[in-house]
Amino acid sequence: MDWLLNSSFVQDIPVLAKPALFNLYFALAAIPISFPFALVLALGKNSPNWLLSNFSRGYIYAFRGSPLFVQFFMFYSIALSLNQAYLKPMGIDHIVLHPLFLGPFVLTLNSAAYAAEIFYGALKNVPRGEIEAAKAVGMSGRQTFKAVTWPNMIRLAWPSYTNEVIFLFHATALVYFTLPVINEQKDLMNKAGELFEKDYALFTHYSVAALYFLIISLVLFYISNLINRRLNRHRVQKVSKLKVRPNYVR
Amino acid sequence: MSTAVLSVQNIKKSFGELEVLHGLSLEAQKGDVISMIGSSGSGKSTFLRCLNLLEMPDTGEIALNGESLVFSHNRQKQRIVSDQKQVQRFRSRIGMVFQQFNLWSHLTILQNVIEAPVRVLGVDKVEAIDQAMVYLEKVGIAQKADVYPTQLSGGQQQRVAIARALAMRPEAILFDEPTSALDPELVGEVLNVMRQLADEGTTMVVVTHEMSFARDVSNKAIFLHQGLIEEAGEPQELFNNPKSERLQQFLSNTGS
Repeated sequence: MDWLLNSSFVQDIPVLAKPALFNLYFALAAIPISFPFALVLALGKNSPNWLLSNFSRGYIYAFRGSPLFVQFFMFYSIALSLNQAYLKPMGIDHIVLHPLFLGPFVLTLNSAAYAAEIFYGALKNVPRGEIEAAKAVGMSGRQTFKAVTWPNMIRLAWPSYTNEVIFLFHATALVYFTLPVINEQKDLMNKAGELFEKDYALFTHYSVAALYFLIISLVLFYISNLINRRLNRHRVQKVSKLKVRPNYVR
Repeated sequence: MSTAVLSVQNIKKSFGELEVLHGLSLEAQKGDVISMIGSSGSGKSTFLRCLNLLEMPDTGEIALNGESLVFSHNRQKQRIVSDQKQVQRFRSRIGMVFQQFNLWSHLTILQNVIEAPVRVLGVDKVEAIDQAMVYLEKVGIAQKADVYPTQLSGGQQQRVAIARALAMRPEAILFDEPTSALDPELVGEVLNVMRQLADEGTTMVVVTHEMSFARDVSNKAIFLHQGLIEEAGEPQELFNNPKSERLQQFLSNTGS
């Protein structure tokens, strides 16, 4: 067994545990804001209000139409250029410029655009008859949304939204390619790179990084599946497990 | 003169260039069961949907037990109801049963029935459940209270939809081809419930292809053709002695 325990693969596992937490942090910090923001954008896009609808459409187009990688650079450079004039005098430069803020911030803006499109599609597919039935008993727009539109919409959107969350998590690998690392706050990609530079064992170190991504993804899939089953509890047919096809190039 | 439960005057409705309703009127007294018959495309479903404003009529007046809806126009010259609250109140007083049932699929049968009373009328939940069970009992489906709509047959779903409408204690119920989406063998159970409601004096407006129901249960029948009331009157008279050529043709085609 010694050969196994002494292999650099196994020895990498504890070394990369803490960096994995940074990737997890980036994703978990982004989701709670991107989720409601995406809902607002989806409802905005669906709104009869010209301004609201076009703002949402424009926003979704801009963030889906440009690479996340570029968005990281752009927001970092914007933050840098605002630094002397605004951020420093306001005393918030060390927060805004910090990758632990800027990383989730950009991820939130980007993910919200993709999730908004998912929710918008789901919104359009809510059974019209069920909405009509709600109107016919005298529900207001708000009551109809709460009672009928929302539960249907979230059920329809869930498999695709899970995909988006997984992608968001994988996209955290990009954060430190664009933002500076502060102290020892390295994520999986940094740390694996650092280990690689010592012994050039590219495959080993990045495999362990990938292992962490796989394991955390698995947990996310599991949780998502539980929620999906709950959302579909009224359906007689056995609900097929979520099939997730991440798109790696975006 | 007693006020009609539902009084509708001169309803016109166009979809784009096409005018589908050319000025229809209808008056339902308490306990009336009015059947609307006619071939597809005659506008009977559209007319019914105008009665609770699921379709907004272009012209016309609608009153429920003497209370008239107040209309106005928005900036795009579209007709709207001045007070959205009034429409909601109005709709909560008229039940509607759809061709495709339209039960809320994510709620159990019981939840389907209590949803509107609790949310719209503010009925206490415990009380709403008690009432709901009475209505489910009445339509003969109380034992299925805790299952989801997809687990029921079409006929059962439609009976739940009727219970859902009844739970609002409506002053009138609109039926939009309630048996058209059902297998022939399930039609009977729904019609029986409707017949029972009619016997109890429920005011009903029924769009239907069930000629026997129109003839035997309703006390008024209206034959629509191309957006106009071609003939109206006592069902017996209408079916046995059709005056208009269209109705004669229609009846012979439907084999009644």
